Amino acid sequence: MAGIIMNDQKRVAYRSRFKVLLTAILLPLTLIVATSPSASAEPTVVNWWTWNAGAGVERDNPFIKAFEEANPDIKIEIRNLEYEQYKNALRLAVTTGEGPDVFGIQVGPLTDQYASSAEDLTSYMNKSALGATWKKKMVGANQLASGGKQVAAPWYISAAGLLWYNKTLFKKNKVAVPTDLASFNAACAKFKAVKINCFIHGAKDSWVNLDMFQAISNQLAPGDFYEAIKGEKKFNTPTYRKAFSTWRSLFTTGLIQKGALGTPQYMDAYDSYMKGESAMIFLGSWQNPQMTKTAAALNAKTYAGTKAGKFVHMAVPMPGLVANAKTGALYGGPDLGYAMSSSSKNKEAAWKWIEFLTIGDGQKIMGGLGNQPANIDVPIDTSDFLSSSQKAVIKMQAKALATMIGQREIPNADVQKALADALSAVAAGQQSARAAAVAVQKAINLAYGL
Amino acid sequence: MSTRISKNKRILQNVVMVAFVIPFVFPLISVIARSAQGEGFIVNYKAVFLRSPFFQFAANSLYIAFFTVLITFITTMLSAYAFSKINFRGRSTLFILLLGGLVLPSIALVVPLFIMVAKLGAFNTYWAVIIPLAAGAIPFNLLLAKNYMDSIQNEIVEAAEIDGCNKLQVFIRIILPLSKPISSVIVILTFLASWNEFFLPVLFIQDPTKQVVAQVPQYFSSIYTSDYPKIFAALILISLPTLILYLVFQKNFERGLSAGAVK
Amino acid sequence: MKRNQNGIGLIFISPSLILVGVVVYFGIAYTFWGSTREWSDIRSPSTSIGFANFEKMAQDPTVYMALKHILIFGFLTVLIQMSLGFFAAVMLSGDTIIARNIHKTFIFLPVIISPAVTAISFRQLMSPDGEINSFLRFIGLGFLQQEWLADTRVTLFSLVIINIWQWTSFSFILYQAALSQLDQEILEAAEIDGANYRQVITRIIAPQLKGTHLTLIIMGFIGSMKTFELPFLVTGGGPAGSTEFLTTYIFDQTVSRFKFGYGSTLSVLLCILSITFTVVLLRNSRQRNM
Repeated sequence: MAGIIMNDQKRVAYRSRFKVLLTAILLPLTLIVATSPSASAEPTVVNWWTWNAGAGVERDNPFIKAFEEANPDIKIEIRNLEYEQYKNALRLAVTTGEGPDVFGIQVGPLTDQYASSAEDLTSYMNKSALGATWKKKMVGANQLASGGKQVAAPWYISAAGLLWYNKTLFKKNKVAVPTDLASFNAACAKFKAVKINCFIHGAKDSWVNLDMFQAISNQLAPGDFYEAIKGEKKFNTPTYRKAFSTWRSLFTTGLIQKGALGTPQYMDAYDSYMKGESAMIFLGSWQNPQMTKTAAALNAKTYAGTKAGKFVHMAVPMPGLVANAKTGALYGGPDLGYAMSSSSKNKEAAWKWIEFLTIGDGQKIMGGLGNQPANIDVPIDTSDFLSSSQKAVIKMQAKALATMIGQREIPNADVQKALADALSAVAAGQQSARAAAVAVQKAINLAYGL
Repeated sequence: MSTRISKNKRILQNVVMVAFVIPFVFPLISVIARSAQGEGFIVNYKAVFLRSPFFQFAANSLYIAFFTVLITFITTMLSAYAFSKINFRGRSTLFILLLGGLVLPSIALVVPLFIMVAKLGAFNTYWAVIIPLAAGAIPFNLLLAKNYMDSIQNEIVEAAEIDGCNKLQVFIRIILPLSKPISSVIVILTFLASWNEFFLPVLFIQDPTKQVVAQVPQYFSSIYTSDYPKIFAALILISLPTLILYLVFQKNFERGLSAGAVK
Repeated sequence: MKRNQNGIGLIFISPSLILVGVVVYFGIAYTFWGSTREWSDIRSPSTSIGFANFEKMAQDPTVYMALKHILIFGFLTVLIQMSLGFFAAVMLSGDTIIARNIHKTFIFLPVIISPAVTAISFRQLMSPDGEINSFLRFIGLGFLQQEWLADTRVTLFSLVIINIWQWTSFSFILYQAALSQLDQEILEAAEIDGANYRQVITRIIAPQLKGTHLTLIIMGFIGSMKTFELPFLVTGGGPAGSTEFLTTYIFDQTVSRFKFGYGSTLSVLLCILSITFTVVLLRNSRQRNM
């Protein structure tokens, strides 16, 4: 669930007062106009639904702006919703002809669930600029396929497994960046002495727990998790019992802060990190854009009166939490992909928009924002980074992104829920590591008919 | 009885009462205090008006609330009157049937509602929100209103009928004027529910400009970050209309609620 | 005359009947039908599976957990809200208290606060370094500090506290109205008899308010069965299912996870439970009317 992404980042910053006043006056008028029969020269409207518009929404969105300039005959109507609401609204709307033409989906259960509502993009992609090479060039495109159908085209790549830290805070308090459990605990002891929360984790959100569990599992037996979770290997083994007990120990030893189970990763835990109140947080490469000066300026405004935007945001691979840990693996794939609704009335225009976002110039815009575009030939632009030292983060990621260890999103919804429930129960001390492994194995068996 | 209570006891009771009330007020004060943090009180509240389509969404919510209240009020009062003062066949069965609506939580209705909305072509219209809200509001309000009207003496109604009023005239001239307290209960409770409604518009209204006031706080959350002080400012501004409505009708509201529920 | 009344009665109730019939009864019928289906994709047709969903429900530990939570939540909120509401009503019934109207308004305000505001403010108040813990430390009761929304032993009770905050005034108003209808002479006589204040309240006033007690109990339990926004917005049913209610579970199944068939089965259970309580409510009110 690459960044349960809320609304857009820059809307607030870009929206000028004048524009809003104007819209407030003009909108009722346009409503009246919209109901009257429209003239024939009107551009084709493509309804675009997403929970992550990449950057500012509405007229300020750089993707829409660039696209509409190049295609004056098409108008993009964006509907940007918070992720949970997005899923609910989408579920019902795709069944009507009035729903979206183009909609975002995530890797995993969502891809399977929306397969029947989406056009197969294979033939469209074959005819695109990438030609038949698209399967190779677009990282993780296969994760957005279901039952032989290319449900969506990937937009950008994100991977979990990174420990983000406030470099300024580390420097100021002369704390070494952790590389293993011992140095992690040492760092926390130092931060505790100066009354700064060391590591913040929003364990109310199951996706971040699933990410952490994958980090631990990959440190114990790299890559094994992705086979076990699909029933190709056993899950109820010492490896995962150990992974569960390690997970539990993060709570009992106080490495994860008190009250974590009631704290969501977004906004609460993340806010604490952004304000400079917590030194570290576990997230992924989708945080790269936060290294830019643009983001820093915006954060300083959003969290006025705090340290936000005034520190250097850096990442290392999650330190080893177990003995002899193998660290450095990242897991993920397309952060989101765009699908075309099979009930769309403007399929040609809809494809033009998807093509722009995932193959055309939209990829360059994405790279400029600091995210790794789905097309691996398009690089991340680091020119706007706050500190040149942050370029190391991109370098460190590059290899791991090209050779990701697994797809992060658990493919079966029931297995996903079983593991999420188990992690929550183990963290709360309600379930033993052994019982948790048994419960998850049971769900896997049920899901894959074992 | 208070005259016999000693001065010390009186002070003690007042202190106890204040201590009792503080927990009820404190969360509200803390919300207001938080709305002044960050960039400051004025900037935050100004931002709600200028950086979100507050007025547009408020107008949309008002439209929804107005028609929901209107429909709920007319249908509830008419049927409460019929159940309370008109003797017709099947009255108690129909009353139970209507109250049956009390038992179903609205989330259980999401899928059937959607099927209906899609079939009727009401998708993306406000009626897809107003009608379910009104239907959901009727049972509880009907229970209160019927109980309330039971307390209106039958003799008054009979006297009016002898004077030549028909049932509708009795309703308009006698019942409605006597029902101010319960009317304000219906208006306030229905307004509260429809003004704050969040879920149905998200599901059934797809046009971004037609969204409702409950969506305003979202304008202060971005992809990963959120501006809590402004979110609180937005929440307070959203709560104001209900608060004002309550304060204006306070006396009638309390009377109506107790008379409607105690009977 | 009689026939005339039949017609006019039906005409007056028909708008409500149509609205509730179309929306609620279609919904209920659809839900019952849905409970016998396997249906996991809104676009593709469902298949009939008889009562398999009900069998699944009978063995679903989450259902029993949710029922247990509803019962505990219902019992505690009803009991405490009634006690506090009664206490406030008695205190404010005489003229001992200064500025009674201000007290009343303050107690009442939470009722008209939207669930979104309540949820977001209590999420902050109840965070580990939130105001509630700070306050407990401040008055020297630091040992009572809790991880209000994280400790699975505490979370349900935290929701109880929020519910009490929001709904005590409802009990308060009903008791206030009932008290005002009591015969003042009995109270005076009791005082002259030398019964002390506490005895007057527990032996004379409280027993006379039986009707109000019963109304509050039944309404409270139906309310707790339908409670949705509170757990949904504050804890999301977690952690580790510690605040799962039937409603949050229905939401999870129907809306989040596409399982309309099983979600409907859970709704049917909720319906049956609530109907039982409503019948009790109606019986009770009819008995008193006669």
